Amino acid sequence: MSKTILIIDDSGSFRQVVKMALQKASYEVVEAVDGMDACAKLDGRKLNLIVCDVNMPRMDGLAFVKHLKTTNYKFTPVIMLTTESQEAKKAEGRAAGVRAWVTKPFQPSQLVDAVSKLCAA
Amino acid sequence: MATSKSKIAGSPHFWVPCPSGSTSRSERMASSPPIEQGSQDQAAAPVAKRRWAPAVVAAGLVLLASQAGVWTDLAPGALGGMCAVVTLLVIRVLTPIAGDDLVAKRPANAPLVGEVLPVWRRQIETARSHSEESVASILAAFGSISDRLDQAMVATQGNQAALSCQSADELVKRNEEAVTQMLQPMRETMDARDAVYAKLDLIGEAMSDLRQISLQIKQLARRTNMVALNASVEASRAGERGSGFAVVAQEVRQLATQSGDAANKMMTRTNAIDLELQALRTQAAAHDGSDEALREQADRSARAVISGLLQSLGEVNRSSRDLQEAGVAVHEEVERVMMGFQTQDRLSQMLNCVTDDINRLTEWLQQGGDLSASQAGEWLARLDASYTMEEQRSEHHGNTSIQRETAIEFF
Repeated sequence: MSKTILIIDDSGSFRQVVKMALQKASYEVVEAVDGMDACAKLDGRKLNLIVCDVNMPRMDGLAFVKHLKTTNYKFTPVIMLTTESQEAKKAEGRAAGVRAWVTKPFQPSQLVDAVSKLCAA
Repeated sequence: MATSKSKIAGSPHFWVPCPSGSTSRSERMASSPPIEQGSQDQAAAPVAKRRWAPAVVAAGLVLLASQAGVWTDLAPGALGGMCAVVTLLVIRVLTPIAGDDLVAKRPANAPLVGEVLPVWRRQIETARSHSEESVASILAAFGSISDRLDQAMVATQGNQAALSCQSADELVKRNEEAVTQMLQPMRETMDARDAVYAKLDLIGEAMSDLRQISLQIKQLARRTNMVALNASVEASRAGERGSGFAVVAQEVRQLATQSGDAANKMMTRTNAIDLELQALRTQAAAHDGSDEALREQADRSARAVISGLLQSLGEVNRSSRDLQEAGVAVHEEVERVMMGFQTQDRLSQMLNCVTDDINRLTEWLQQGGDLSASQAGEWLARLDASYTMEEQRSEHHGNTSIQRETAIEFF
């Protein structure tokens, strides 16, 4: 049975890049355009991992992760995939329970490796 | 990759890309009212103070123009050129040109700016939106190409496994049963012929027995004839009383003679049949040699056919291998393209920073902000804080931008 990954990014083209990389590795993908949209996707469906941008309208990635930890999905691993490279943001993400921080641009194969590693853990 | 770009922030002399067709700084100067050199110097100080606002916007746009040119491999210079044009317009509208004392006396730039800036913001947003849509469309096409390539590679991998380095002998051995079945009808025919030969041998033996029996009959006839002759002699000695016996003896001699003739005929016939059988055997022996040669020929032909087939399959195999190698190379290229497409996201974020700052400036001016107020440092600091990317910060401060390798940090 294939694993399901939630991709949260306000850039459609970027979601497309991530989606293609993950689908090629046989993952199923659910998309959300920002943190608010992602909250609506936490509807009881099985999610093995979440790939999330930081800077998004309405609800940003770190706010979403903090909210996630109050839900039934609190043990779902989160990878932040972002242009944000400030150490303070990374520290905030680490404190919020983010498992990995990938700075854009990324190599699709490296992201797939990271997803595979965290899904297996 | 290091990038080097000229900066404008804080400097009264801006360097910006000047696309063909756009208004150059010298042309703008020429279109302005002529002023005395002394007046220029006197006006320089207050004018410089008033330049911080256009400097902020222009800094953002120049930054954007330069980075768009560097990052956007898909349409090099297109967005960069557009931003450069916008930058020139910002400078032209917002920058009080030395000697343009109308500007100094007229803080009424705000209404003009308040109307023009939103237009520029919408233009930038439209460009960003079109770029996003185009990239999404191209990405979908690349995804389709990549999927089809994957399917082709999976198919050729299967063929390669089946055709890996087999010799004709290996293939014949693996397909021995099929080759045996192919040669089976010929072998069955040969076996049937051998059975006929065996029957002929049995007939030959029977004929030999018949010849022996004929000889025995012939000998018996000769002895019977001798006995009958003696009986005739004894009958003639007996005179009248032996006359009847003489007749019997004569009959016996005749029968013995007839038996001898029959035995001779049987012998002759048996010899003739025996000769025919020997001729058949000789002929069969000649055909035996041809059959062996035929069997070898059939075997050689089968191997030749398989060998030719293998050669063709080998060529197909080499083509498949070439296709595999090409596929791997294309996959690497697709991976690089995927990385390239991510610049769209970076570009969007940079454009968002600039449009947000234009919004802030518009609102600030609409709320009565004074262009002459010296708040450039505060404004630039806020702009700096809004950046998300290292490249934006280094460009903002005029540092050398260092291209990072992709890094994944696990917590």
